[in-house]
Amino acid sequence: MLNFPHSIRSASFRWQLTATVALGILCLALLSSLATSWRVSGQIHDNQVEQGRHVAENLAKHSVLALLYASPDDVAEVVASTLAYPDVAAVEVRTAQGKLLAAKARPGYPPRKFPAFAPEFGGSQSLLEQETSGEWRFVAPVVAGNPSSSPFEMDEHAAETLGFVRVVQTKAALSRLERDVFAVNLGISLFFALVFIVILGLLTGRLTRPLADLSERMALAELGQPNVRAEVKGPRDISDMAHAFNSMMAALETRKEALRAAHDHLEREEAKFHTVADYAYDWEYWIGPRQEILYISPSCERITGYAPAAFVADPGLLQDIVHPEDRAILDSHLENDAFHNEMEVSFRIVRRDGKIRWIAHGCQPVHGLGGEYLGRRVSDRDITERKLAEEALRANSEALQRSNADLEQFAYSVSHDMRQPLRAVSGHLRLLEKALKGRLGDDDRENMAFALDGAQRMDAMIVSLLEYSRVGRKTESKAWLASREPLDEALGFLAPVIAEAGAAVDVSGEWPQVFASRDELVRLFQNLVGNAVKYHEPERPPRVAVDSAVADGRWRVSVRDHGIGIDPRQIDRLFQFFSRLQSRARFEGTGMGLALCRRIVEHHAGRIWVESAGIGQGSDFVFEMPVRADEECSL
Amino acid sequence: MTGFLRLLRRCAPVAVALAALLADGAASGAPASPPVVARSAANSAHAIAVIYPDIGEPYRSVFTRIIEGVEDTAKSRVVSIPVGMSVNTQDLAAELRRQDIKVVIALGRHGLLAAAGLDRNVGVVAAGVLSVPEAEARATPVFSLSPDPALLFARLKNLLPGTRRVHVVYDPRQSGWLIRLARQAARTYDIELLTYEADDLKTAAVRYRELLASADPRRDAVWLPQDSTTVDETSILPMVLQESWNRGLPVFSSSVSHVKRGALFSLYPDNVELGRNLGNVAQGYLSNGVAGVRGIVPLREVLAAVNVRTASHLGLDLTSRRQNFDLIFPEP
Repeated sequence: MLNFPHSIRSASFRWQLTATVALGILCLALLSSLATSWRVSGQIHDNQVEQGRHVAENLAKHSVLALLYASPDDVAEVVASTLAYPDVAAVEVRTAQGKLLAAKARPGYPPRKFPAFAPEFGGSQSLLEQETSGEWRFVAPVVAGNPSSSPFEMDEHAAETLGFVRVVQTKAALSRLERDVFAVNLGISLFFALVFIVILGLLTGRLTRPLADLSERMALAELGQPNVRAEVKGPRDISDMAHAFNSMMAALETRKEALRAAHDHLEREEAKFHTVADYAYDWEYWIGPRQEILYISPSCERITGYAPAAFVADPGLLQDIVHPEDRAILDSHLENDAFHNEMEVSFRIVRRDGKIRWIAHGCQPVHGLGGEYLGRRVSDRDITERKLAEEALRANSEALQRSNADLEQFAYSVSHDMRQPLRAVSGHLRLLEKALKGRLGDDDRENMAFALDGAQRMDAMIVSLLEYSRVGRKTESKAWLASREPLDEALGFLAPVIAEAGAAVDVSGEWPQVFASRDELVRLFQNLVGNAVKYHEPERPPRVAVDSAVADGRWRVSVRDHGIGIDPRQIDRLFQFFSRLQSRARFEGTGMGLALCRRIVEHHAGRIWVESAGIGQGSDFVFEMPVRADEECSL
Repeated sequence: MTGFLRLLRRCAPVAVALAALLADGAASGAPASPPVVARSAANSAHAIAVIYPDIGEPYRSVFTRIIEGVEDTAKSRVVSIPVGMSVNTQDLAAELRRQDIKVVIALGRHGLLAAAGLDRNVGVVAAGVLSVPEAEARATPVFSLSPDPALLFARLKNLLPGTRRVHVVYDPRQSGWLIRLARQAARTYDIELLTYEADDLKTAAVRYRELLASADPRRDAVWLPQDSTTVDETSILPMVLQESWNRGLPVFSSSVSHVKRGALFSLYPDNVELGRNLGNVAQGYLSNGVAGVRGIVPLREVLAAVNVRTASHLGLDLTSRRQNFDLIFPEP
């Protein structure tokens, strides 16, 4: 691997391309010049040799007469003309016996003594006698006569060799030509190389301009300039790159925009989250798998007196501030529940100022999308006020229960105890009536009747009070039972009344299993259905519809009649003690029936109400209670 | 003639290229590439063979034309046999016997060498050569390609009637027979023939320089014979032509190529006519058993060539005599 200097490697593509090709062209020019010169020199050499041989042969041809006549004058002219040939430095003509007939050299050519005899000639062809670095020496035979091979002659005549000529030709022209050829070739090659390099520079400039433009656009894009696009032009490869760059930039900007939008959305969501979390009234925090605080809401300071940084710096503070008496609660919670279930425990903490606060601690494990455990998410609520209220409420409730119990006991006792004297009054009044029978006037009998009636009504009222007070205390305990059974039992008790009134009772709907007191439900249905049968217009036989339904865990029963109806203004008084909306003369009763119904329904954590369009429009008594009415709900 | 035949026999063992080809032809009876070209000219039992060099142009057409002439006049079958540098004489003789050849026209050097090894009962007529040593041409007629000097002088006189002397440099070994004929012809045409012997080129060169220095253009002329010793076409001929041009000296030649280069005129063979003559001679041999002529016979079947530019330079007006020449240089 070639290691070029950094300056070359970091140069532009155009410069590198131009420099590389230029260097190659220059090398090629030099090599081609050398090769051409070498080749041409060889050809020139051969031509020079051939020319020298021709010169020698020409001289020999024109030396025949001189040798025939042994007359140097006959050859002087041709010798001079031979010396006029380029680079012919010396010539001489010798006889066959080696005698020098004529010799001449160019001025400046040093006197030389050549061999008297030439090499043996094979024919009339000239020979290269010797070649040195500076000259050639050619010899050619001087032949006379016609070498005959004519079929018209009997003898074949050999040509007669009269002598030979010698021509010395220097290599000055060859050297000069070699230099000239090399120089011209090199010059031409360099010229064309220069032209080509210039053209190459222009072409590479033209070729790389789109690339440079693209590079510039890329640099702008790298600097973050928005909406950078490259002009799609130039060679197809470059235009494809520009197109790809534009597509990439468009895609990047789209993604960047989407990323920005996502980031903004995330920031908004995070701000929202921080708003939700930081402004959480409760103390919220997230503790990681290594018990590090990943988040803690500022509200911790309000609740604990410690700033969030204190918990972040020392996560153990979470346990340290727990009241010593309640640490076992938290420890048990952490050991058993915190990593597996959503549980809530409450304990006390000791604030930084030493005050005690109640905390409702709820947490649940946090898992990532891959199911990995990421810690616990904890919500601590300051429930001190609620705890105090609960304590007060509990105390009040206990006091109320005690009071109610006392009151119920009192009412029972009073009712029970009051019936004895009342029965005595009533009994003695009957004895007195019986003793005075016939002796009393009408007014006295009427007064006596009033007294007896009053005593009986008093007793009925006392009985009603007793029943009322017995609800929840002296009645059958709650148990799971088929809700239809108490209705059927009540209808059985009411059968004579229903028959007497000519009433029709329709039962419909879904009757669930309910957790309730059986005799209380019997009493409830007995009162409601009995009222529906009792309160009707004399001319209209009562029709009663009892419907049951279950929804959302609550049992709802409607007892609807077509009776006398209720004035809506009187509805609020309907479920009060001894409240009567009708005269006793029209309808018998103590006014405790609906109060007792309300008492029974409330004992089952339900409620009862009446709906009526008004007088003569009939009534619809509805009660609703949970299917399972807890004992605790009863008062 | 004995010496000539001895020479021929000495050369005969030299390889004859025809041997294998003749053997193949004899074996098959129908040579695929016939080395022996047989042409039936008559139903005569005897035939004439023409043995000629198997050589390329421009020589081949010369021999072909001669053969045409032979075939044109011979009444017997003419068998043409090209031969190469080496000939198996025995195979050639066997082929001649098979073809019932009684007379052979030997053309060119190769033809003469091949014919040298033949039996004595086969007659030989030599032709197609410039000359042979005189001593060896006494028994066999040799029809030379060198024009008859009488014809040359006649043409010279016709063109330059004022010519009184003719200079000629020659090698007696080659052209002695011709010079003798020339002397006789010179007397006929009232010409003084000045002859210069030269055994080598140097001597010839000196002789030419001397005669050119002394010649009188008004009455002298220079004759260039077909002599390879004295007429060197690279040195002597240019010098002679140059000098004669400078001095206005007429030069005529026995070679048509010299006319093209500047000689005034020359005579050259009419090959077809030469062939006809040879055919007649061979036919006579077949008829009479003798050739009828002996020794070297100069060429008399000639055509004429003239260089009109040289003629013009010499002041000759050939306008009305152009039809007398078969070749005119420079060619139009």
